[in-house]
Amino acid sequence: MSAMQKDTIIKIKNLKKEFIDNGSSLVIFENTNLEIKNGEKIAIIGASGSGKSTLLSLLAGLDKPTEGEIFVKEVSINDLSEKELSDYRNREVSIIFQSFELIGPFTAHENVRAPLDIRGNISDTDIENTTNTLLEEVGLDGRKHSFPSTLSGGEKQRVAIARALASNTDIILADEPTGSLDRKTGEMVFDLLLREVDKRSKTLIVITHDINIAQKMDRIIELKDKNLQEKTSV
Amino acid sequence: MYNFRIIFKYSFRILFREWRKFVLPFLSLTFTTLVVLTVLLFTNSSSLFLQDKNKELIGGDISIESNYELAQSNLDTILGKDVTVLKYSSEYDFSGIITKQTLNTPVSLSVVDSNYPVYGGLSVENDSFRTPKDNEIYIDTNAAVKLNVKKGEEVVYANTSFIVAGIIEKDSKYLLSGFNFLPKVLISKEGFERTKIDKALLRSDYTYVYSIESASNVALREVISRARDSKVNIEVAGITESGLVEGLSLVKQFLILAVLLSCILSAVNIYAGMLYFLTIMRKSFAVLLAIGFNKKKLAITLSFSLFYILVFSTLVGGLLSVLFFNFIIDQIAKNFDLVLPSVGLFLPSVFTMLVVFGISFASFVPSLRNLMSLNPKILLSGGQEKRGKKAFLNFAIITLSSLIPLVLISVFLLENFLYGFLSILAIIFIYLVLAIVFYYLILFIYKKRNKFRFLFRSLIAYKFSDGLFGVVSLTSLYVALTSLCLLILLQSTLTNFIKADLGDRLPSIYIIDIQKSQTEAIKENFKEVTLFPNVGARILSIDNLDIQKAIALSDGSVSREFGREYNLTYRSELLANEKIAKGDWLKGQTNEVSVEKEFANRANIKLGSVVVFSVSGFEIKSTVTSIRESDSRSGLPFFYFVFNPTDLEKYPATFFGYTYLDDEDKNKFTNYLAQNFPNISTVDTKEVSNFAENLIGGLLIIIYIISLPPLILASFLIITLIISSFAGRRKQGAQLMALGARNNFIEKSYYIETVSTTLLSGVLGYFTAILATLFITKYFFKIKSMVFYDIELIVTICFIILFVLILARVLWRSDKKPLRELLSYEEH
Repeated sequence: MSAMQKDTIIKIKNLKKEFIDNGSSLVIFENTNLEIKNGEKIAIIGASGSGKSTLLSLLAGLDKPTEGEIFVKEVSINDLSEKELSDYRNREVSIIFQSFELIGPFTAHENVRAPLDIRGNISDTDIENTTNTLLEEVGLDGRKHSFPSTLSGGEKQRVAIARALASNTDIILADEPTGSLDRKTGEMVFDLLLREVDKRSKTLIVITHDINIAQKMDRIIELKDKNLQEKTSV
Repeated sequence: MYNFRIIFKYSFRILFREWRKFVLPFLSLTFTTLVVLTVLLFTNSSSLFLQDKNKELIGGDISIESNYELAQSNLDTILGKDVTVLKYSSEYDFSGIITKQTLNTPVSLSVVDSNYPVYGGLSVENDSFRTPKDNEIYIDTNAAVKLNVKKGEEVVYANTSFIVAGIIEKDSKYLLSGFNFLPKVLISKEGFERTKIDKALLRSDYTYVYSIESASNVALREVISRARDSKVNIEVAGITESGLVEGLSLVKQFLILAVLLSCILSAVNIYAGMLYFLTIMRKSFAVLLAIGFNKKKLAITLSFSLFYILVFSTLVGGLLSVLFFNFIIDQIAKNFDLVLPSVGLFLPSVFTMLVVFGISFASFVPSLRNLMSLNPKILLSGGQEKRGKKAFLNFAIITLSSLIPLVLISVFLLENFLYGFLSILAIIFIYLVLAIVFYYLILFIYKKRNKFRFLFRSLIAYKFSDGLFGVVSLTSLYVALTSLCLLILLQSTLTNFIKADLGDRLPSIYIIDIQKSQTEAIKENFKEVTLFPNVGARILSIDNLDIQKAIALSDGSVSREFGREYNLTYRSELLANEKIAKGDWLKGQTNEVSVEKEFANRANIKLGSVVVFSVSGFEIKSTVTSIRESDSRSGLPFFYFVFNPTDLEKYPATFFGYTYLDDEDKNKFTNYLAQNFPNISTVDTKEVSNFAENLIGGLLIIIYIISLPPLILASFLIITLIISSFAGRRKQGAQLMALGARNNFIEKSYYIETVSTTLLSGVLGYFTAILATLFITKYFFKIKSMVFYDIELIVTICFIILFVLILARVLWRSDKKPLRELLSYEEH
């Protein structure tokens, strides 16, 4: 393992992702490098199909790169077993999806506490306290026993944010978190996310098409020509 | 170490929150438990009963039966040296007519000795049975009612008076001798001698019953073998099966088929139900995986959810089964005077649980295996998953290998490894072939979709996008409808076979054992009587093949059937129930013979074949000049061989006759026979018909009850498949509506899809069921004719289509979700 700077939380090294479809090869990115420091807020932008979501799935441990490595807290996630990857997703990263992806048969409250339930070794009282606090913070205290099907889009995404915060991971990955919401609700929800992330000093990586959102982040990185390019302005 | 707390918690949560999706597996498993356990309890109980009553049923340890009197030396040879006789009784039975003044009744007379009965007993009204004196007679309740006679009163047989010594209420042998429709009467050997009837004039069955010291099975099987070599019938308690056991075999076979069908349908139900559940819950499970739940835990959680259902359904099914079994026992005791013993619940319950667990395992594993390929990455790629051929193949292999429990169940039920294995293999093969056919059919239509109107084009596209679940649901619908058609066709075939329309030509009375010397007097007094001569003969050779020698060789080349005595007849005309299939009817030439078609097929007799008979020691060399079809079930006499009268008139013959008389003339005629010709007996077809109808009614009720659970399971499957396709279509419909399609367009397309898939599966299922019924009736039931077309079945399929349409309409109309909500349709 190469030596890394002290405050680097994610390091992407010579990353390549290639898909084979019906015998023809499609390279999404190659020889890509990136370092993200602890507590940084990063926006990843790029044209549709440029591979933003693929990059996120690689960071989340949902997919494996074709070449290269991803280090999180100095550990290569490429080498993790299925079981270790499950633990990684539970303890190191949280994901917020564009289409919310709440668990249908679970109430808002049960959705939020699910990562802690899964982690185990946490007392029920602690889980309850964390869950209730988070639901209160995202303004859903009154709807905690509602099922996802009865929540509005904004409410669903607030539950998703609370769920991502519940696991208290250092890294939060968000895939177009406002993509399914109207502008006003989107802004409100994203501000909530930023506020909560700042409060907890988390590292946030957001994939977005929205320039306004991107501009609220510390760094903007564009996925272009199969590579990641730092942008100074948009 | 798994975190079982979270597994328990989530498995319960999934079960309680998504209980609707577990209703089908629950009902299927409950019904399967009910069917399997009830059948096991019932068969165990009846086996115990038969074991318990075996000796009583055959009258002793060994019962030898012959249609001629056996010499003591013959009997000693059959029994051999390894069997020690403790008690012995002999009797002969024949039919006759008993009268009391103007009343009469045909009866089955048994002439018994002082040792009768060796085992079991006769239950006599207000008395116990003892050997009748020479002037005494025991008559059963039926005869007593018909003759209006009581104990101590006088009746007449063969112009000889007998005093009724008692009224027989119950005879254990009734069960074994099948369903004896003639009243039973007992006299002693001395009593029979008083009648002065020449025994040679009677057609008697002689029975020799032995109580023996316990002997080895090997020794008893040797006794059986020697008896069969001597061409006599033998029953050995606990070894040979006949009578009641044989009579119930048809029902038992149908029972096994129904159990097998229930198991298979149940497996398909759970398979389709779980696959549907896991398909629509896929995203929720993907989220669980995305937040750190691992796949093994997810698999265990889902297995636990199913396990609760399994335990609950076996408990409910088991309880229902015990209640149902007790109800059956009560009904049998009330209606048939048979008290079936209670049986232990433990072993049948364990076996049933194994069966139900096996079915669940077989049907759950493929879906679970499919879920194991789930990657939460789908959440980032809009829920789309790409499935390669490898995944499909993997799924198919897992599905096939997990069907092993079904094969084991089938092997156990059919008591034959090859049959069990082949039957499941055949079912899997058909299922697989159909799945592939459906897959390519959908693919083929999908590729040609541009040629269709938009409505059909979108339908085809949706069907194609359903992927694996679409193929499985279509195939499962086909399985449900095939099972339904198969059961109804089998039911109709059996009903037809049992009822066997006797037609208008059924005579009112048959007359048996008329001597040649008696024919003229009978004809003179009753002109309407039609008589047929019976000349006893054995076949010596067919086309130079020495039949008797070939049978003696016991090499199986010639069936033993051809070694027995046949009744030849002679007449000049064809009967109303006959027609010539090949050749020409008798032209009056010497030694021409007409042979019945089915017998000719069995004996490999053709036009021009030479058949040599032995009649009273004389050889008759005959040439087959016609092959004749004869409706054996028309109620008219049925003969294998018909000669010209000139060829057989010279040989001794007895006559068989029938006539059509109203009740008053029938009584006069029977009284005339009883007084003048006591050796002659009659059979009243009205009584036989009534008896048969009651029996048939009982059998049909059993068949309908047995058919019910698989039919209900098939209906569940159809309902589930319709409901499961609804949610997906509603969302897809909403997408089209968002593009401007009208609601009635979407609604119409849903109805068209539902009805057309049901119709397609129904038609294919009907044809498959015809093939399966053909196979089952020929090789399993061994019935020659089957029902191909059944109006009830057509009506049932029409009803199913109508029902499916109504269900689709109710589902559609009851869903009031606004378009906005439909477009963001949540998983439940």
